[in-house]
Amino acid sequence: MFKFAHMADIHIGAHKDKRLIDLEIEAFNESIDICIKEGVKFIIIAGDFFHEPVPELEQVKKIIKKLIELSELNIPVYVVYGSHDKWGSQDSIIELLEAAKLIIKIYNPKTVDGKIRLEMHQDKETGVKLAGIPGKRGGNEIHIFERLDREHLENQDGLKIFVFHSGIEEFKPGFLKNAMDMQCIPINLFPKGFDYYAGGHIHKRDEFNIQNYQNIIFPGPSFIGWGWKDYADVSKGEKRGFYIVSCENNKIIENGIKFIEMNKIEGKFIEFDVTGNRAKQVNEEINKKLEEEDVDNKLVTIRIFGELLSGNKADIGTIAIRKLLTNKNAIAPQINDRKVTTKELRKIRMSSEDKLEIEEELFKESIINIKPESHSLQNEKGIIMAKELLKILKKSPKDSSGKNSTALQNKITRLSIEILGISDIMEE
Amino acid sequence: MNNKEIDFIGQVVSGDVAGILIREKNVGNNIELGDLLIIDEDDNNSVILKVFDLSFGSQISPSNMELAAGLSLEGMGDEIDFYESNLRNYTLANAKAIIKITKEGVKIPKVLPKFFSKIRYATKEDLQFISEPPEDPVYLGNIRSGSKVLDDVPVYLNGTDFFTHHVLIPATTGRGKSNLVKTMLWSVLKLGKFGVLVLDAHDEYYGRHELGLKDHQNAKEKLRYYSSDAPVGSNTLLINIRTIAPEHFEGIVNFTEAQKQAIWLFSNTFRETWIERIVLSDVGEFEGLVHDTTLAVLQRKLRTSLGIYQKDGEIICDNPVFSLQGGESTLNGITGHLQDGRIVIIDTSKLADQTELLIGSMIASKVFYRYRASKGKGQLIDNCPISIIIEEAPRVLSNDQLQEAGENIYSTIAREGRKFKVGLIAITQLTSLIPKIILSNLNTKIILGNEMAAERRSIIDCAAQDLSEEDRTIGSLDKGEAIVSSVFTKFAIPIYTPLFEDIARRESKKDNKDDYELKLD
Repeated sequence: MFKFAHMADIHIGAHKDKRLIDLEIEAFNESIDICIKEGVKFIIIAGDFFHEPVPELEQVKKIIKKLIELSELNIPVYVVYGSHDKWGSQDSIIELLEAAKLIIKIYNPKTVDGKIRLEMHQDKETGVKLAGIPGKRGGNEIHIFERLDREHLENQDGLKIFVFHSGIEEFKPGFLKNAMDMQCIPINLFPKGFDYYAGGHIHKRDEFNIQNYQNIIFPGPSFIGWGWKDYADVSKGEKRGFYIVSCENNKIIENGIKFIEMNKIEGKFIEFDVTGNRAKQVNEEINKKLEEEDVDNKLVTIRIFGELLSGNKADIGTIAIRKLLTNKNAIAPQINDRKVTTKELRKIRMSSEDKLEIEEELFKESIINIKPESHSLQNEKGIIMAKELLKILKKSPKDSSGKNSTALQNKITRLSIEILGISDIMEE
Repeated sequence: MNNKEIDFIGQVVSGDVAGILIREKNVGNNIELGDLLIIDEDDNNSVILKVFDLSFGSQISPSNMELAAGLSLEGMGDEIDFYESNLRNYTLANAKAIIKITKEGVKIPKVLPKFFSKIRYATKEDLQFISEPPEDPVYLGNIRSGSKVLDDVPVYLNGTDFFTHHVLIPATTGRGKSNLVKTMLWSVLKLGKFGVLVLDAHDEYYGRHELGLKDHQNAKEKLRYYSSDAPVGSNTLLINIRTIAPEHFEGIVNFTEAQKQAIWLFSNTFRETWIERIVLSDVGEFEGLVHDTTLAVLQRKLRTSLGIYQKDGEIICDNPVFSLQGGESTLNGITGHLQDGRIVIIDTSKLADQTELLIGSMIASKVFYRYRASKGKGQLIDNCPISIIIEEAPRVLSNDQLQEAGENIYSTIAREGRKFKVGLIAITQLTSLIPKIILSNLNTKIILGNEMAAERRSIIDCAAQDLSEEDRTIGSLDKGEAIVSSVFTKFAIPIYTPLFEDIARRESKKDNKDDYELKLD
């Protein structure tokens, strides 16, 4: 009998709060310690190991330390890229870790008769065969799935694991309400008959079985994840963790798929319905309630919603609320008052504590009014492209005159051309 | 027009507003039922007439004709022939003036054409005003004069008017209904501006094994196909039972008042898990609230309609479509696709009748209420019009069904959908079963051949134009031939819909290569 571990969406580098940064590394280290204690023969990371292709090196250093420990114990770590690990042709820390032989990428494609054939990687110790498809920005990995030589994979024998970083159309979670929320892959584009489908990308733990496809597993983030929804989920008490799977005689044993809960952080989710109240009254009530709450060392998420009788959203003192929570030793308090409206100012469209969320919302709002011809500029793809372009602009420091230097301008242009995928046109 | 260049085929000899009698020129002509004829008037105006009846005419008295026939039949006059036969015996065509074309535009004729006017066949130039494509044109076929098709005169209707004001397609089997719908949807795929939900009971539109809508060059972007047995690349139809609401059953599954109350009690108490709770409930568990018999009947009805039941305390789902795992966002996904102007085909060929109606009801409800809410927020203007194609429409829209099971989402859409840019395309063999109030709301009728006199009468009664003289014409429509009667056309237009396969072969994508430049790293 042997075991393997399956984790995903670790998102190292996602947090800005010092305590969360430390907890994130601690959580990773603990999960690896559990794997070692359980005697797993290998670990699968199904994408989004890191939050950015090149995260803060301080954090990477700590991760490397743990990976070296695994390497010394001959426990291989098999990974596929997630949509955060690699952006286009930009370098990724994953490549560095692979070059250092600390991880093994299991996406090995080649083109045969117009189809993409994945060479399976066989784990030396267990003989398990693994193949994987990376996640790409905007769900573009669908083009790999569409051209995949499924038959080649289906004809392989032995215990087989398929690793992926994508949503599955038929199992798209309910919180992704609209068709454009996420490009997902129809299940029948996956190779049939694998023993285990190790998924990532969906930040919700789930297990599925459907005819021809058994053990489709999404562990969800092993720590918090990132963004408002993940913070809120953890604050509400949703358990994070990863899977350990037991196998014997080339099969996964019955009831051998176990979720390992990581109780790394306690959370508190508090809601305030402000309907019918004045802004001043709301502030008083929120303060009173929060004074009574035990938020010490807890991840706290506050949701404020409803229609104010008078005053406007800006009158709700979110800065004061955050200060109060910080003073009470809450961890990275998140406040969401996006659903607060006011009879006086119905035109307020959005507000968020998260700058990235505001930008995304604005792009979502705006893209409806634009009818670009190119598919790559439409819907979710267009939003992602706009976000990436904005990111380049934001990263560009300005000189004393407030302008970008020529070298920087050239860099911005080069990166923008790459993101827009118009290198050929520009060359012409 | 110079009379010398024109091939006249007849002349007005008598008649009234209801019917103008035309004597047919004998040599080389055969006026047909449904032919479109033209009278050119002095002031460059012209009148289009449509033939609705044919009869014999003769200058010889009936008794002399009978005598001549007798002599011929009894072998007493094999050589007998009529002197100047072409002049004495002829065909009379009864036609109705349907439109007058003037410099100012087309009008309904209010006066009789000039007595003894000469008649000719309508040409492409005469019908130019029809072939001018409106905004967002939906193609229905080419104009037809009798059985002659004017290939150069396509017939289009404005997509928004067509879809949101509802459509009725009355047709008996084998008259080209599927071909018409496929051809129409092919042109919708070109536009990409209309969401159309197709509940495909015969799995004939997508083209799983033959040419179909999947072969359109815009299919990848604008077509979605769901099936419980989906081909590679399309979506497996999977609906989570927690996304089913009590209102989805309204008018589809018959529940007594007590059963309805029990359903609402479970729904209000257990929210999205209401179905599971009904199925798992034991006798006596809700004593005083729900009668045991009511609960047992509900469990049986849910098993029949959803295939869901309990075994040893566990929920089992027999139906491949409904599930407790996955399918959480299927309804939202489908609605989103429709809202984005895509055609969504649901293959219901392997599902029971009631399951098909239930799935249709779920999606139709979602679409209707989402659009109604959009209107409330002033956002409806941004939404694509959506139409829902329902085959064998009397299953949900018949008098009996509405009385027995009550109103359902389809009847609601028929009555109110127009205000919210949601339309129905009701296909039926039995128009007479649908209440008049609903028929009157279906503002475009595409009438295909029908042998049943009672059905023809129902269709004629609800048509947008006076088709009282078209009974015989409708009875004689061949496969592919139809009459379009719409509040958006000046007259009932005879059309012929070309073979879908010919169109698809001509226009389908040349190769299936994905144009995405894939990097394998």
